[in-house]
Amino acid sequence: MRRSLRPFVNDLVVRAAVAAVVFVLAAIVVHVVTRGAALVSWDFLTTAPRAAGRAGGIAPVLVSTAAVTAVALAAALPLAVGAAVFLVEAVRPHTVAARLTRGCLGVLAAVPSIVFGLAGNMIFCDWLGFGFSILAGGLTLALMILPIAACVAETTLRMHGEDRRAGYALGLPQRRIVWSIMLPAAAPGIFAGLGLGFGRAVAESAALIFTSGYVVRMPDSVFDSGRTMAVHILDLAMNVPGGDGNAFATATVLLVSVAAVVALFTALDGKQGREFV
Amino acid sequence: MTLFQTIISRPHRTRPFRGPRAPKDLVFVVVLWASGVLAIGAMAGVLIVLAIGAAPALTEAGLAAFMADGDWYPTAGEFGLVAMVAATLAVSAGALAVAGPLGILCAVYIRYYAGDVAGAAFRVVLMTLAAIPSVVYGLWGMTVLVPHIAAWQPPGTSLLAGVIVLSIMVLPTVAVLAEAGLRQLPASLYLGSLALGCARHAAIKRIVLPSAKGAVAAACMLGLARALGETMAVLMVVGNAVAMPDSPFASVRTLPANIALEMAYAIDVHRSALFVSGLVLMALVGLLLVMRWYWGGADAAQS
Amino acid sequence: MNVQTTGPRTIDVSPGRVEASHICVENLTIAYGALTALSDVTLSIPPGRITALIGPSGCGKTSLLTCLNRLIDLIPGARVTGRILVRDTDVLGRDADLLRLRKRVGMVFQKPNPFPFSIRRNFDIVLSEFGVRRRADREARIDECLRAVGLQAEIGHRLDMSACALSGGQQQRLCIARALATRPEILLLDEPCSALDPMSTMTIERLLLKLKDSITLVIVTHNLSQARRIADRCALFWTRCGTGYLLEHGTMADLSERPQNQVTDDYLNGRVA
Repeated sequence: MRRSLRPFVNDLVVRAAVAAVVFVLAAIVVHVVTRGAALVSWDFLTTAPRAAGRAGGIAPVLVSTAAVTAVALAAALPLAVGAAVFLVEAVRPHTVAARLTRGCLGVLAAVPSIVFGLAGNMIFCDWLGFGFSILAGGLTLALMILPIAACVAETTLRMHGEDRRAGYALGLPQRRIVWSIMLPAAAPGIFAGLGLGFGRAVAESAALIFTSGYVVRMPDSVFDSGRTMAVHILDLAMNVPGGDGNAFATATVLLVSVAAVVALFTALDGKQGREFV
Repeated sequence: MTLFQTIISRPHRTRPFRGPRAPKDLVFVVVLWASGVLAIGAMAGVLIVLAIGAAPALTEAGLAAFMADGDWYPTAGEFGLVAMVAATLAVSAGALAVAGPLGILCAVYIRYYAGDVAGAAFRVVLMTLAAIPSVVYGLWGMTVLVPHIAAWQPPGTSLLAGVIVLSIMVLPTVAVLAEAGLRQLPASLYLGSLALGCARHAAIKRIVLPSAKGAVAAACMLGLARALGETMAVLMVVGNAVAMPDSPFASVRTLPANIALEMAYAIDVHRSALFVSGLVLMALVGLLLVMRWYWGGADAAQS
Repeated sequence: MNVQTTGPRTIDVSPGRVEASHICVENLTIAYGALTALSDVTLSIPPGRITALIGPSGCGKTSLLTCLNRLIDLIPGARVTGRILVRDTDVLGRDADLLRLRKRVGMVFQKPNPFPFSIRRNFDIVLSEFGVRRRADREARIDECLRAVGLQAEIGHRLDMSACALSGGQQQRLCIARALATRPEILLLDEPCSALDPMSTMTIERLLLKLKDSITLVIVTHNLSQARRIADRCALFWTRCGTGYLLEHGTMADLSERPQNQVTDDYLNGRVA
């Protein structure tokens, strides 16, 4: 290749790759939304499904999704913050305890979601006796969100090292420093981490089909089983002939909710942008 | 001043808050340690559960039965996982072969080609890609990708479809982690090579990327780990026939898809056999993590 | 005798002065891992005066400072030998009550670090921990501290504003005020003006001179003119083979006009960096 052409070709390759990625994203989103948006209506959001989901709406599915996500976030928040504070305050960086904890969180982050489904099924449905329930599903998701939320929380807490030192210099006990200074200061970042966890939770299906169940019905309590949006899409696409239309409609609703929540959390987080995928 | 009042040199333990301990302080320490133990326990719990669930099948049929090149007819006592393991590896490796280079190119773009606005916008694109649920990818794959492939070569649901969908899903992971790795490099490396007269592409290809080898490799490993574990999107587009992946158009079934499909109605040994396949999947992921830890160096604990 | 005091951890709310304390450092050696940062320092710091620790970077001045309030405990791998007597209490003793120590010995850092909350909350966190619970008492104490640093006029009416919205100089004065909230006998300052502009520096120097009688001030500074302006006594540190040590100490006049080492003479007269 001629020398003068080389930079041009290389740059072209990079830009072509980027263009391809943007094109693919656009293609997918456009396709889903155009096929689905037409079917989304107030009726769709507030009535129950009929004819195995081909007709009717997704009201119970929305409620179940909200319930499972709420349980997951409520359980994940204290666990993640606790683990993060543990890593920052209770152990020094290179001790066995610290490395073991970080290592376990790292492995948890890589565990496939279907394996979480198996484990959740055994631990929450069998051993703890919750059966197929929103509670079991939510707790399983909490385990999945834990690593990333803990990682973000720890990073945010470490950013406030100056405040920590100031607190110690003033003679405050550790518990006070963590509770009154570091956690409030790190709160925006911690909630951003939860926002990311939310994104992952609501997108999850594999972990939920054996924990929160498959049945479409309006749940009365967290001990009832329920079907989330992602599972509903799966069922409509794979098992219900003619269910494509509503599958796209549900997918549109799902995309919009994820976008809204992630945008909300990012706005709350302010200028501290973080990339965690 | 007596000898008692001289402190012999001793490493100071990290108790920078020593003083009369109120009960509140004790509770605080207990809660903290409980959280740490829980994090460890969660991971241990997952592995233990897999082991317990897998035990019956392993004791009854033995590990060899799973590794033998037989067929998968669990209700009839045949537990050959080889075809599915091969399919899982094929789909994942294929996805990485596409997403790896593309992801690195995207990272290079963000870091060295794009301006602030374009870079931020593209990062938003990547994050959006990452946020799309896998079932939506599967839905798109089923309704758009598969018919296109079917037009070329029936039946459409194939290894190729799985590779394409999976590579789109893995790309953001690789790109974002690779970009983070590039950002760790000292700015003087790139700027210095430009100052010496290197063209941009040469500086990147010859100097920057080799220096970031560790981080980039780690990014690819994590991408591969995600690919291995991906269930739904793949399930919806690969056809789910248990067979060796002998052509890109062959219909195959991956390990996670297998578990998802059969768990609902599996009982006894069959159910236990599915736990065994879960263990095998974890072993593959574990192997990747070990490789990444070995090559990734200091960042290996982060994910 | 090693008298360990573990008395009540509350602050006296009544107005009045606290007696400044005398510090006695004996044979202090600090090491971080295998590296000895400071070797065998013996120094007496008089009460109610400003003592400046001067010398080039890396001599262990900041390390010495962090030993005085045991903040060095936060650094993993740090080892300390010797004695530090703060008014007859050995600070490095095994049973030293660190929380009480840090109430008596305040510290101000190089980069101003107010908590990222409102100004009032910066004080409230400290005051409520030390038993000042009644609102009137807290307001009185905040007022007293802000007056001591000259911020009462500037921000006394805007206490609910975020502390991070203040200028650099104001933030540093706020940090000093916050440190004064516990009525310390000693105040440690680690290059408090190095991140500030000259006007703020002057303001802070004036305020330190005002605080002098009731508090012992120990300040680490690179700025020799600052040391000349405000320090009653100076301790000059130097390095030898990577380890810091105390070269000479005395009043600024003693060191400039009657130095006992050539190095002192060179350093103070600008012939050496």
